Amino acid sequence: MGLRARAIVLSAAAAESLLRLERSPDQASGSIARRVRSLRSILLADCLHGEVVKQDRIPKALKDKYGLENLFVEDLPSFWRLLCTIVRDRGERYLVVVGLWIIGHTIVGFQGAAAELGSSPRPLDSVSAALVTLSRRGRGLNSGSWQGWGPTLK
Amino acid sequence: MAQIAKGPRPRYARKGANPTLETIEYVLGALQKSDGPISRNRILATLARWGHSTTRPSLNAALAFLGGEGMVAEGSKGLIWVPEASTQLLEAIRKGLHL
Repeated sequence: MGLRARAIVLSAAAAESLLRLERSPDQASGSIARRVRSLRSILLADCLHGEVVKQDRIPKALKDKYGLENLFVEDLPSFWRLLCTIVRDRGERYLVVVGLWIIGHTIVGFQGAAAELGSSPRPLDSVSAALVTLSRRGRGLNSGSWQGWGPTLK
Repeated sequence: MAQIAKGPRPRYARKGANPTLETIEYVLGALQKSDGPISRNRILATLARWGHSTTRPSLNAALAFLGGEGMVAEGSKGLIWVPEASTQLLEAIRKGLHL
């Protein structure tokens, strides 16, 4: 697999989320942040490692904000997900992490995650809010029952 | 003026693996029209369905050429067309934090 990504870049929202996770004294947050860091070598070796989100399932909010044409989801501990896309700039491929989210398959999964992190769900920005709205309408990332939430740490 | 005696050595084209511009465009079309990553076998099948069959060495040469320009990425799930970064993502690439 020679056609790999040159680097993995964090969007402003993802960088902020990661920073908050790393600074949090919570043990679960630390394990999420460590897992994100450990994904670097995996994603550099295999840029299509995550679960593929079909084009018609990419949330409109993300499409509008970043102009995404492809989206991959990596599982993280405590029901968190890392969302990334592959794009090119000056003939080089880059994986851009567009966000870190709590996305549960079911409401039970989400409640479990929220309880584990000891906080209530709180959207971070307009994109998170749009994802929450989408999921409440029954239109999630890959299936109709996915619930999307922004980072919940205080 | 000095004459260049010898032409450049082709980087991707080889004997028996020299796809035409049309083939390259068909390969790009197959990648762009797919809903996610696709295999080389699937690309060959799509090209055959479009009435533009090609050989595997030619497909490999076309993919190497497109990959060299950053237009194709390959991973464990197959090949995917890589779009040009949007303005927002360009900002992240140039100014953002690297993992």
